[in-house]
Amino acid sequence: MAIKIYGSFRSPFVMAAALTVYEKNQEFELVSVAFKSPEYLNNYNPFGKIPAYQDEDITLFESKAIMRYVATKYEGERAPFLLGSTVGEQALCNQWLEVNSHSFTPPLMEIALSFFRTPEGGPSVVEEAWEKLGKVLDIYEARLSASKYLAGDCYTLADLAHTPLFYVLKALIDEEKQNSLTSQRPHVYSWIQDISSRAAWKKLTARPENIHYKQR
Amino acid sequence: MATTSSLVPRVKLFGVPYSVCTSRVIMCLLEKQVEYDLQLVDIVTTQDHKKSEFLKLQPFGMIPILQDKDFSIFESRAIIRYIARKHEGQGTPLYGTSNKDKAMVDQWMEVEAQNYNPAIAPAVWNLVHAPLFGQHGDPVVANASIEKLEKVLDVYEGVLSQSKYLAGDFFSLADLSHLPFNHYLIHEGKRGDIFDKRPHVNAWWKSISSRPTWKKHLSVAFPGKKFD
Repeated sequence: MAIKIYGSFRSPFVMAAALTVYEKNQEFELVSVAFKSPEYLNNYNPFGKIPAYQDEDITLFESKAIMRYVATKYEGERAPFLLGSTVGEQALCNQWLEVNSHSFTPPLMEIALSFFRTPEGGPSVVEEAWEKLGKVLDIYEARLSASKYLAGDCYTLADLAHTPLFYVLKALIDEEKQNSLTSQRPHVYSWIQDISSRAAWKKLTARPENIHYKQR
Repeated sequence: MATTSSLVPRVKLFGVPYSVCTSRVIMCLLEKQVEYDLQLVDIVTTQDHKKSEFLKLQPFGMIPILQDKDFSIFESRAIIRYIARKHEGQGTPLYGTSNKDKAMVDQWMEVEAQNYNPAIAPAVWNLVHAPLFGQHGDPVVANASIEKLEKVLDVYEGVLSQSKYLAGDFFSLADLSHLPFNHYLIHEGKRGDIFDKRPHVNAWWKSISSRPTWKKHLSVAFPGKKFD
């Protein structure tokens, strides 16, 4: 049975799960779903969110759980191992995945979603999000001036988790705002260029289901 | 004769035992029978976690940090994965025993981080911790947070009617991750009612919170206090 990923590329989290499949040299079918429907809630994700994942062995939800599962299942494909090659690298990969979840993604999504709906709490919430994101990127700048990727010398899921989020942000914000994020952060800039030029990412964004955002 | 454990340097955990995130790590260390030294960090008076020495190890200025010889790691959920992985052969099998078990543990750990934590944290802050830090606890925010949490608990009720623990019929990192915030909400925030009215969630809570390791941690973190 082929890999199925449920959801749409409107979600950077669906993209992250799909990107992991491509990084491990596998194929998948992208299946659209009505994610609040009883069928989806009962069979795929009781929280009514995307993505969900299915192969012949398992049905899973939560993008990072899917990413970890795919990386582990296809460990032999395209070394080095996406979760880190040593115990230390694995620990740092997990550390930066948590940073992605708790410190990087919330302000970025606040900014991204503000292009589609008025934020609860008004424009000051978006201003705060820009400030928070800036502080987080300062920390990334320091980290990436000490190592090529977040967990060390090798690309891992910790880096991968950021690619779709930068893609969505870049598509929505104007060039001036884009420059403001990276002009004082050369290591962050190089890192974004690097992770966004990987073959698996290019393959993903070439798919017909790829979303082309328009600025509001 | 010296035992091997006395030759192996202990890991150092920087934090405070009553902190939610530090508790998560302590519980994991106890379950995996790993000896550790707790290095207290004054997060209240001298605010050590905001000082440059600390920020070198944890640039976000938050506890806990685990130091294992020359290596250090932060983010409690990453730390517990590290401990569970490194000491796979001893203590409780917190990742289960198969690749499928591990995938389910990862899934429910993400549920805790992405769905449960955002729903419970504002309630615990406003009901319990804000006053301790000299700030105003807003009951409106607390109630809105409880409402969100109840929706999450409805899903948990369904899941826990099919299996004893979240990832299957074994206690895992996923269940463990819920202990500290639940403890605060129930015992200090006095909102045990939302667990009582869901029989499977309630049974799960009673089971995980009565583990000897958790009781041992509570006796150290809150000396002299009794929690039923």
